[in-house]
Amino acid sequence: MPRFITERDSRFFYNINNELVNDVVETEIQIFKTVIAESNPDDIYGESTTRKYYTGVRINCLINRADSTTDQTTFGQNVIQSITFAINREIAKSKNVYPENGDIIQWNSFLYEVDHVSENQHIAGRSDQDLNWSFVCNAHMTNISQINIAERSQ
Amino acid sequence: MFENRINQLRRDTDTVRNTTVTFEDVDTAIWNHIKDVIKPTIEENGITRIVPVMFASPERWRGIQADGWYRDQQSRQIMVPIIAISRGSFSKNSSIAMDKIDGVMRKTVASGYNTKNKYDIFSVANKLKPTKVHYSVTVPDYVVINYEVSIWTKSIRQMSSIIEKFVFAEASYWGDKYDKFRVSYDTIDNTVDIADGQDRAVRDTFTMNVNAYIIPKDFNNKDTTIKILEPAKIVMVAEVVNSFGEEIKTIQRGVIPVEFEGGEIDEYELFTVTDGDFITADGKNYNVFK
Repeated sequence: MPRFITERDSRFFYNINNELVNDVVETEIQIFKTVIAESNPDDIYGESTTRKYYTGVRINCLINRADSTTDQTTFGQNVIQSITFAINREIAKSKNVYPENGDIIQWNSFLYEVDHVSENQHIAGRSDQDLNWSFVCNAHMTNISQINIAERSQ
Repeated sequence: MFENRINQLRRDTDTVRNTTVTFEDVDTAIWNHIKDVIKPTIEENGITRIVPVMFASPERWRGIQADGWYRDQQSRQIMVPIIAISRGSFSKNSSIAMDKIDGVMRKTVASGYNTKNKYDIFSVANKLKPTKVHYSVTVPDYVVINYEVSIWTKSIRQMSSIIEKFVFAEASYWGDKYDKFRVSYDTIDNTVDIADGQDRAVRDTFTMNVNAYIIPKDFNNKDTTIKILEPAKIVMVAEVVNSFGEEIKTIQRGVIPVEFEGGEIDEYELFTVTDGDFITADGKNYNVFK
């Protein structure tokens, strides 16, 4: 049993973190995970035009967003934005959700597709499961034509 | 400089379209053909969606505000699939050698019925021949215009359904009821991009060669389409000569001035007039000439 960062310390960190995220900051997102079995996983091209999702899970997290920029393309201006969602593992566990690459996150009416999930925030650099602290999801803005989550206006 | 008044014909009441073929006409013909004949569509969740076709790189206000229907209303991002076309370079069609001689070389076509050929007793009694209106059009420049077509979809399956139609439409004449141009293309480039920070995108591009022809509206201050009226007078001339072959009298017979705007001759008869006589019709005087 290590002398520092005991289970009691870990619980203290979690309580502080939980209070900060759920009672102070309160920025809520909604995570949509894909129903793989019903999304044509054996497609020859590795794609699905009939992708299906589980019901979204609401969860609070810390958000670090970049300013949106525009990209001039042949098709006109396109809006680009990258964003980071930092989700506490214990909070995610309590909501029974595990974010992965390709999941869709809705925040502030916008939709983001997760590019990469980093699970590299270890308290005191320890590899204990309880001290692996967060999911940091790097995502980019997407739109309703790219995913199959809402009726498109077109 | 005197202008020949025979060329001063009223054109604002014409129902005949001037034969001009501009770059905009070619652009419009190609755009309409893709929209209305090829009709690219995709299947998505059992719904057939029409793929929007646009000209590349619109102005910002147009792309964002006016044409917002192909954008996500929340994120203002471009929704896919979408097709963009843009006009690239063009060159003279060297396979059709044509020397227009500064617009002098023309082709003339005759129109059918025109309102001046109304059937009435006057025409029958005087055996007037129906007149025709001719339109003389300068010979066009034959050019090959290149168009860059970009297609963006989210999946290979959607792209395939669009490209199949374009392949089928190749090497045919594209256009509307006014202008048709032969379109051909060889290679269609296909790329599938999936990069961090971007959505997966399937993009196809190809270059179309459009064999077209260009006739500007006017050149050197003259319309390239000229209206020409046939003579409405038939002048029968009898020459009387003496025994030495000298002309002593020239008689013109049946000089009927019918070619005046909006006029009808109320009183008429077969008559014989001589050179220098005056004929009055519809309040106007006409001088008989040889």
